[in-house]
Amino acid sequence: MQKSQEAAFIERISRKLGRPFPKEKPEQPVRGVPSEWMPDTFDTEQACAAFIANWTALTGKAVLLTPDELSQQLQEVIGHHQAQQVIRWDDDFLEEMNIDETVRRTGAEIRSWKEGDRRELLAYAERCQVGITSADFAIGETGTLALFAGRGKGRSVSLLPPVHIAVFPIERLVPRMTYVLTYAAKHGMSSSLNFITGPSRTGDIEGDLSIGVHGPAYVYAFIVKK
Amino acid sequence: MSAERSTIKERAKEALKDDYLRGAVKSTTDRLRTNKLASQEALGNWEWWRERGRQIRAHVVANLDYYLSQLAENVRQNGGHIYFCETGHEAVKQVIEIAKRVKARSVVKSKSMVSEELHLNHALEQEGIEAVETDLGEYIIQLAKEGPSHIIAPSIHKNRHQVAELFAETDGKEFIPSDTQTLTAFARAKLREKFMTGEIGVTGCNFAIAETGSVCLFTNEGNGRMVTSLPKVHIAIMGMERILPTVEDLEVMMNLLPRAGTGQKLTSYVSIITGPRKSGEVDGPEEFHLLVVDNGRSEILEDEDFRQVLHCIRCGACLNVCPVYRQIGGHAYGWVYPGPIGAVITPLLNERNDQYQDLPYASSLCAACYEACPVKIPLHDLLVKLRARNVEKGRTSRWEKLSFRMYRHAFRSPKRYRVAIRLASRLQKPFLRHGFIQAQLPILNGWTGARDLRGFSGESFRDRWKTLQNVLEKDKG
Ligand code: SF4
Repeated sequence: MQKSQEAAFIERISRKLGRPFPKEKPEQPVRGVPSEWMPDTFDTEQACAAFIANWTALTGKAVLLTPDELSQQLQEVIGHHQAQQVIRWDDDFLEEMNIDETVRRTGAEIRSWKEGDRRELLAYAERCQVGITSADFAIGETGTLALFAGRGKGRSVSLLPPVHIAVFPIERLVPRMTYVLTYAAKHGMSSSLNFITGPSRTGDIEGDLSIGVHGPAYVYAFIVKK
Repeated sequence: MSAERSTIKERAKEALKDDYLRGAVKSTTDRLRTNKLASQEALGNWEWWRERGRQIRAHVVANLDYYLSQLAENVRQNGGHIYFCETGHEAVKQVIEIAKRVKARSVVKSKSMVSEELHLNHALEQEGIEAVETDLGEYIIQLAKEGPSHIIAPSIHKNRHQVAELFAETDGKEFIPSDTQTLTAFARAKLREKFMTGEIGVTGCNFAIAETGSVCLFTNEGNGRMVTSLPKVHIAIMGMERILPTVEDLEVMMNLLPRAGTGQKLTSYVSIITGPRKSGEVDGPEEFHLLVVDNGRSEILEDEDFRQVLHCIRCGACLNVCPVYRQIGGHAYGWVYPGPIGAVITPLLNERNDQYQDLPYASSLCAACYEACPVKIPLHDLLVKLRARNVEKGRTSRWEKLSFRMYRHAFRSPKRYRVAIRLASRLQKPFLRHGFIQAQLPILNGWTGARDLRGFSGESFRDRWKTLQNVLEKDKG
């Protein structure tokens, strides 16, 4: 039944367009951004500098650091926000950076996003003051993180706690969105691909900008260079 | 809503009395506009991008049948469900059917203009299902039992004290401080509870992507992410034209939409959602449903000129620059969509409803809307065309035609024009309030009978007249 309703709907559109349903895929006169927007090579350091500038302009904090510095910075931030509970992605890079050990040194509890009881995990994430993710890409031009959801990579980790910290290697930096969308188109879409550009914000009270209305108010990007 | 019965003129008059409204609408739209200019500059050749945007949207709409069927295939491929709803009523029925099947008691919603067309919240509540708007602006107007007055800033007409009062009332409190932080924190706490317990998340859809079967949401607050991450079921509702061929095309819209609407380089969150959660994932919905809604849109496809209105990406830029919107605010437009886009699309989507056919007159035809539009929809031309159509269909009064003719006579020669202007500006003084002629001048009777005429200012009116005259010529011919 569903199908015939659909057929009728689409038939009506063809009729209104005044021609039969196209036999072949229509030729797109233009597609996406021009190809010169994605040169084969680019300067990672430059993309990184642009990211830091843009992320900072949005009230976020972004720093380029060594693994040792990362451990210090992380402890500082967790102390600063007096976090007692932390949730993190179950992610290879975060493991490699020994995030758990660092966090526990501050006295806070940390759990990773593992398969298990959905309710319980969500409730825990909701109680956390800090969520730590990695980022699949970071985009210089706009100051944007790209997070592909997946096993171990819960959407809620970068969403429910008021503080979001993203820890990722400098190699994940790209100059512009084109690289990420092209990658996604080629490798298949994850169930949820989130682009995060600064903190959660609203201007709905008299146009007065305010951060952290639903998502995180404090957003940190720790870019690791070994 | 009383607004539904009255004419645009009566509603505008009501709005013009409200000083806060005019101040707030002006300062917010000013801010949005200034940001817009700055962020456009950062992108480089804005005109080039607008043309790119226009081409992509025009291509999709001209091949809508193909892209919709491609979208449907891919949504199913991803394990989602898709429904094609000819009317708003069918869409509402579909949502309720899903809600009943999963025994939902609470629905959390992220902003969706199309669901306003369907009066979805009302229908859900009649079934005993709570429907909570979670965008802060939408939450405010839902508590106030009003509709949105701006596409991207729906509560633009409310000041902080009114918001504080509403919140206090909801909480059974006497008083809540009205500073922004307290108010946002209040909404955060209240709505967080709703996010955690809602069984269904309902969202709009900024763009659906045919090639991947995805829907894409732009939100600043993160409420769109909440309602697509926490509830067990996600229902996305889209106007049938909100589609792009590929995910690469989305980049062009990511450049255009936020810059045009709020002047951000990018909205805080852009989420591309492709089907329900996959195995091994803990959050995200178990079920994904996409409703494609026609509700009058296919009628617009026939006429190639009007077809362009379906290119709209609902960025709100045309509202921010419209001198009429800035005076009267959104509610005066009487239906879901305010501003220049509303003045065009409302009469088209409500073709059979005479009540909305006066909206094309709520414009000064200054073309600022066209200049602002990121996909180059010639709204001012379409307004003129709609007026002409009203004339064709005999919807305008005899008086209006007559006064048009008198105008033509008066303005045919520059000398007569000057005399008329001088005469009019002297005559109008006793009738001028807030720069509008509100009384009925005999010569203007047909004109002011349908709208308040802006006080004469000379040149711009002459330009406007030229356009109107063309319409009348057409009418005669
Ligand atoms: S008509 Fe153009 S400017 Fe107005 S909302 Fe639509 S896309 Fe934006």
